[in-house]
Amino acid sequence: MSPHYPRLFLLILPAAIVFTAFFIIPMSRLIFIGGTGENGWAAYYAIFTNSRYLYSMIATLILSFSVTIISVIISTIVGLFLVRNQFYGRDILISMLTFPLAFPGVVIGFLVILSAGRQGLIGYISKALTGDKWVFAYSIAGLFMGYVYFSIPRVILTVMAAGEKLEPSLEEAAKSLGASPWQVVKDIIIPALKPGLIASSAICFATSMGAFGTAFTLATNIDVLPMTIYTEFTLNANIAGAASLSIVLGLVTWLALYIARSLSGTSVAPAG
Amino acid sequence: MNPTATSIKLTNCAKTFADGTQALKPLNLTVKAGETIVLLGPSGCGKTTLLRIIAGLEATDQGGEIYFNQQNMTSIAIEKRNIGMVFQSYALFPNMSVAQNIVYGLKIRKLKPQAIKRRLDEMLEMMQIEALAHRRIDQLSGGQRQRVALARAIAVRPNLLLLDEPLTALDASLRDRLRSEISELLQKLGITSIYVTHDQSEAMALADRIVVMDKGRIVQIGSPYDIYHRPKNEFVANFVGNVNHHPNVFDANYLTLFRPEDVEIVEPTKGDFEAKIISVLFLGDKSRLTLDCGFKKSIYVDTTLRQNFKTGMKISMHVEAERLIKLKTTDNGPATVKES
Repeated sequence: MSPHYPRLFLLILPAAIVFTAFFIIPMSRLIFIGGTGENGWAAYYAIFTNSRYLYSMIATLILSFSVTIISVIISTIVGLFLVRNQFYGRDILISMLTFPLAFPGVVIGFLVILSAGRQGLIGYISKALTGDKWVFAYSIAGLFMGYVYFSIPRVILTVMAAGEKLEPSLEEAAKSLGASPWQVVKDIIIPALKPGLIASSAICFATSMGAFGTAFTLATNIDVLPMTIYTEFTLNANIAGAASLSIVLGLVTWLALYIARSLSGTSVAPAG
Repeated sequence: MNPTATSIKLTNCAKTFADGTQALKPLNLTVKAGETIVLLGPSGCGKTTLLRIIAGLEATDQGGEIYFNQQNMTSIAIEKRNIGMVFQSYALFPNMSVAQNIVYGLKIRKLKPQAIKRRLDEMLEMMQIEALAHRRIDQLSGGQRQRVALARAIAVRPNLLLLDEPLTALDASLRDRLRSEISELLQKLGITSIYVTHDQSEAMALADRIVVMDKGRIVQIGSPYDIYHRPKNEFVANFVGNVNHHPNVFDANYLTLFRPEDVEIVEPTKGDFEAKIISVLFLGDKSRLTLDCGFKKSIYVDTTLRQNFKTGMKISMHVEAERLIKLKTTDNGPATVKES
């Protein structure tokens, strides 16, 4: 046995304690509770057999996926613009863009109601223009709006950090070889930003999968999985069901992120 | 010469940046088809700005015009100018392999796969980097990277090859080797090239003509031989090599200079002037002596004499009249004297 082992053991001990206390114990307990309901371990299949659960899972996945895509597109354009252009008030604008980072979900929900609710600005404007009052705050569209609003600052910050490191001569070299502006974006800028975009999409996706406060503020009947878990837990007192759904939510999110990461890994490997 | 080589003409090109600094005063320049021009000057002299204007990375101020052959390219975007460009930082695409970097311009031009493959093989062979074709860029040394960058720029058969201090980031021995390779390559290809550097030995080795620049102006254009032996003013004389002020010749209208290697060490008291050795730098093939002749500036002498010079020795020196560089003092104009 190497003489280093006792010291290594001591060094890893704090991490091991934290990991056991805050991950292994609660997680195994949750997994176990998930199997104690009237259907036993079959509760874990309920996500496929119970149509309400399944619908809720699919809705959550679609929502999170589209929130991620839209946030990344908007933030990449805005982030690159902010990196490349100097203008009066730029610094204030950047610090204001990071403002929503501090808001809890309930405040985001409130803001969505203010703009797209019954007394909202969007409804007011659309009524003046088309005669129809557009109210979508209390639906999945409102939730979508809130999540995008909430996700953009995170992605912008990552894009700006990566964008500042982008070497201008790479773009100049591509242009000198005949690349059009769009080809420069596709072949040079996006690949350079890719690691940052993948990391921030992952955070964006995971946050949208689990966000609860905004959904709860907007309406209690929006069928996203965190809401379903809440309903099962508090209203139906189905603790086992809530626990199994939580585990499944975690697993599905983890799987989605894992797939995204491995897909991006293969495409940056050396080409043959 | 390459029959497709392009001539370049710049008329009245200037560059004023947004903050009001004038990086380039209005200038004219003609580059013959197939010629290698080196833009030489200290940092901030405007040489890179001039190169970027020719490339199309910067727009010239109102009134300036750029012609490739007889075609006005002033408002043509860089991607339509069909140039090859090599950067100091290599600027290789890190998300692509060596081969993918080299064929990037060919793919943009939508060449057929067989044509791309053929050109790739030609380039790999020309730059002797066959073994590197499938490497990632971060697996290459600096010298290898610059070979790939050259291959990428040449692969598209550009009208014009622009090189922006391509050797500055390399270490000295590699720089010398790659310099002679680039020199051979440019001669073989017969492609019109513009090469930017602040290194006079690079300029001497590569140029058909050197354009010496200072403070946004062209100070002198000439062959390396002319620039070295017939500099137009003291700035040029100093920038392309060392010069001494003649200690015995005083003329209000002329400045009399000579190069360290043009000094003959003669028998005591037989020379034009005498001086005391302050320091000796023995370089093997020659010795560089620093001398004090009672003048505020030291005199530098390069000698190949096999003599063991010692600090404190007094020597007598002679410079042949035709080796003296005579400059009209009024020609010195805005140029600054480099302290050596």
